[in-house]
Amino acid sequence: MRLRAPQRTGVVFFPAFDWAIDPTHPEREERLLYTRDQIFEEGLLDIEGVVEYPPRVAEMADVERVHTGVPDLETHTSPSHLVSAGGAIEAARRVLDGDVERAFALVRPPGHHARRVVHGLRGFCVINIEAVMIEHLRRHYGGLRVAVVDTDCHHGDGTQDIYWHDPDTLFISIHQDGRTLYPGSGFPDEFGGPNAFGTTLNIPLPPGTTDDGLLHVLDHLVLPVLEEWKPDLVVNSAGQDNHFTDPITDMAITAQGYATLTRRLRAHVAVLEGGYSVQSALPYVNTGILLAMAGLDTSAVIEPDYHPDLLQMGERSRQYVERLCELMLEKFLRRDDLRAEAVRGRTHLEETRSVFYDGAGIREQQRERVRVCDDCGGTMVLESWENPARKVLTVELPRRCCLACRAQGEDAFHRATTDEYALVELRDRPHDRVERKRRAGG
Amino acid sequence: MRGIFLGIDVGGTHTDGVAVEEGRVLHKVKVPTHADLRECTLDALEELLDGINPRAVRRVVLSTTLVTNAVVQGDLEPTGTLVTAGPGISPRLLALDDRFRVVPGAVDHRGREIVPLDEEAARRLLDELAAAGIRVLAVAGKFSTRNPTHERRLAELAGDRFDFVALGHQLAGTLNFPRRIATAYLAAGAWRLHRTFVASMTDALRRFSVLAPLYLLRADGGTHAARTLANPAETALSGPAASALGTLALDTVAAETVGLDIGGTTTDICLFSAGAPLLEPQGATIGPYLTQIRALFTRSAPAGGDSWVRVEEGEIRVGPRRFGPPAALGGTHPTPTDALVVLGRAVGNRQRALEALAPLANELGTLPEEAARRILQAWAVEIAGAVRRTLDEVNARPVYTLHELLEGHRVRPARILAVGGPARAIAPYVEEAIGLPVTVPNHFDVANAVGAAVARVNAEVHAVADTARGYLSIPEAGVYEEIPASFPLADLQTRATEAVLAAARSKGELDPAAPVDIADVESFNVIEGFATVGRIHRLRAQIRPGILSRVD
Repeated sequence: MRLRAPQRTGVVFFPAFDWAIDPTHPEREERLLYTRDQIFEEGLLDIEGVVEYPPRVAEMADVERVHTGVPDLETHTSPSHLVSAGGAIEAARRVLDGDVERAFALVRPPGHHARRVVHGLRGFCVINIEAVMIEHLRRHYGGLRVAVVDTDCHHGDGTQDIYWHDPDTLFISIHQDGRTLYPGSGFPDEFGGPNAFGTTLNIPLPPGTTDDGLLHVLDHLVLPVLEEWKPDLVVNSAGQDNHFTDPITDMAITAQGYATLTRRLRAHVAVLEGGYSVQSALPYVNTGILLAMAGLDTSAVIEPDYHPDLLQMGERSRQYVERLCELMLEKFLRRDDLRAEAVRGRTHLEETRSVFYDGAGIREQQRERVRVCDDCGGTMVLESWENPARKVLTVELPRRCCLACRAQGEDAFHRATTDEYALVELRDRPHDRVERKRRAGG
Repeated sequence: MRGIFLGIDVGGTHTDGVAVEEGRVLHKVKVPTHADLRECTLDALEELLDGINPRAVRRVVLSTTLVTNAVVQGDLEPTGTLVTAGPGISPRLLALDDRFRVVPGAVDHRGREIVPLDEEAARRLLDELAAAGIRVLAVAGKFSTRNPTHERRLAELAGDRFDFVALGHQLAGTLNFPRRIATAYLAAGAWRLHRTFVASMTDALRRFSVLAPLYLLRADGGTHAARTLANPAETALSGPAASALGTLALDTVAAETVGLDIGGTTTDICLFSAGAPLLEPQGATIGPYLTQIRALFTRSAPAGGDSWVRVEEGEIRVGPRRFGPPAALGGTHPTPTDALVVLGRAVGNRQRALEALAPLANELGTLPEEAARRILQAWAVEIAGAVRRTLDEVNARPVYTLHELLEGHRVRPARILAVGGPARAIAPYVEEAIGLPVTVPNHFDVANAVGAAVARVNAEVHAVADTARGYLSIPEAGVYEEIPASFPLADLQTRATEAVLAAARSKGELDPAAPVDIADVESFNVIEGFATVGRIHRLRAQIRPGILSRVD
């Protein structure tokens, strides 16, 4: 008399009912309250083959593996972030341990706007929970090729930043066009760093994109790319703010759309990101995702406010999406040639940028220099400052760092002085170690 | 509460009874359990009343397997099930049999009607079921605990063509639609059987000149006046609940404690924290049905005194199978009880026990006495493993707030209380296998009947006030009414307290010393657009499972 799931599915459900950014912020206590009611009422956790696991609490070492904190990580990391990241880690470990085939980390707070360097709150995020999860997995389960498919309505600029130079992490973000929505990035020309060209893909969609549009991108771009790239693990940053009722975005995706996407994408791990239509969307979308992951019928997961007539996509938008997918797929398949052109005759690539922290009201400046390398992800040297008197320098040795890159990186670290920088970090990924020099007096 | 309390627990092999007065056991009896539960209950009753003034009896409490047996043997009455569903899992996946019908109509998680009830369809489906000879109905709506209007209307439409209609929202206030369906289904399916049983037991009591009310013990260890019990399925699993309460009555259970009831077929495990038994988080599982029925948290290990013992690859194995009684009592297979008999720790035919153990002793290359000791060790190790798994399960329960997760309380018992026939003989072995002190209280052999005798009335209600929608709902108490936008959390506490006391009173004589606990309090803003439009207050009020008095 118990419903049985064709696919064993893990769920880490952590609604953090006692944590909010502030009381009326979209990222507030009851964000998952109605979702919990729906999940409990549906009896989803009673289904045989759906297994609920409590989250673990991530360790600071897991966070340090990904982020540089200014002035330090402890300032920004709260218990809620450690549990949210720990929830994602637990979900993924259950999959890699073979306890379940897939898992859904239904946790908050979200993380995909958190970048490598953290000066404060940005886009409701501080700690990038997917990146913390992925690097934890690589540390404990060996070098995985990981694809992150970010289906949150906002460009996953934090995850993109963290994996920009990583040839072993394919980051695909499908989002509402950055010309119309925070954070204003995620255009097709953002294609990855010189040593990871083509492992960042951005698909900006026009406002009003429907299930058909989203599923077109999935079928004609994302799935073929995954087929070609062959990841060991597929992670879905499962934001739910593309929903037609979301108060802070303009898309037209339904619970059926999410369920179908989930069924076709077959991600090993889904991690909740945004989604702020807490009553009208989240209960249904999460039910749809969970049923789809478990391989059960989702045909009755239809929102009360759903009217097919209201959710029609314009012909121009449809053509735009189709054309975009063609161009992106072509570009992806030619990525090696394109990279060769882009780096021809160059030993380093340098970039400066400015990052606004909407939650903290501060602006960070960055100067990034990466070694062009055919053998590894390339040593990266990053200067970051909000206050020019307190610059931070971080040197990152990539996971499969070659000897030349190691020598350059270590040299850069040793030459940098605490007179010049308030903090200097050598992030030695192969040895899972962070070495620091700090200016005296804080 | 003064007077004589009679407790009778109908077990798989024995029916145990006690008469308790002022915390003393006056009388205890053990009679064999027959196929006709009524008969053995009356046998026990008759023996118990021997020498007791029936007019002095204050309460009679029965713990029976009547409903469990009916569920397991498929003897429930054919039941029509009507559900309203709405967005989510396809309701057809939830059908319990082919008399399951879906009526268009839906309510959402806030209790708002999103699809009106299709009364015409309802009438047609009810006609169909009635025409097919169905006489009892289960009605369950998704989110009916938030808004019972559709369920209530379906009951009206059913009218008097049906003898009994079970409404899901009244049976439990928690959220779980599939369990609500199963709970109502069992309530309806067991209704007639239960009614017949209660009528005949009440008659019998009158014949014995016992005027005291008849109570049934529920899975949550609460007593319920037999004539007001709306859901007879709540009496399933009352056996383990009876032993848990008996354990509570027979010793001081202050710290965290493991309770063991070592029986013939199984060893039942329960846990006590802060002087009260732990409850199942979701509800009881009865046969194949997951229900919302409130139940004590008990786990059974298939390792009892009658379990089959053999040697496999040099290792002694105990259970999970059993083949009738122990060899010493006329059975065919060696059992832990035979080991006890060989060591002179239990009554039985020692010669037969020795014969049964001889092949095992040979295989182990030792004498029968040593083999017997090693069998008891293996049995204790089996029990210890089950206790460990039970603790792991409880400690892995999910929590949903940072506070609970970070301050997370883990159950770490300090001692074990063991009851059941072989408890005293096996206690030293269990102590060694688990590494915790084991106490065996007086009357350990009838702890279950003692538990039934002194179990108090308990109750639980779930209350939700949604000030944005302007409704208060306390489903178990039949409360669903409009409230003003200013309705505060404190008023919800008051209403829930009143409701739980009223619910308790309807179940029987209340223990004046039993406090009402308010638990799981939540209070959230309701924000629509970017404005706060109200609050949702939720809480649970309960009188915890407990006992009327200690028994020495």
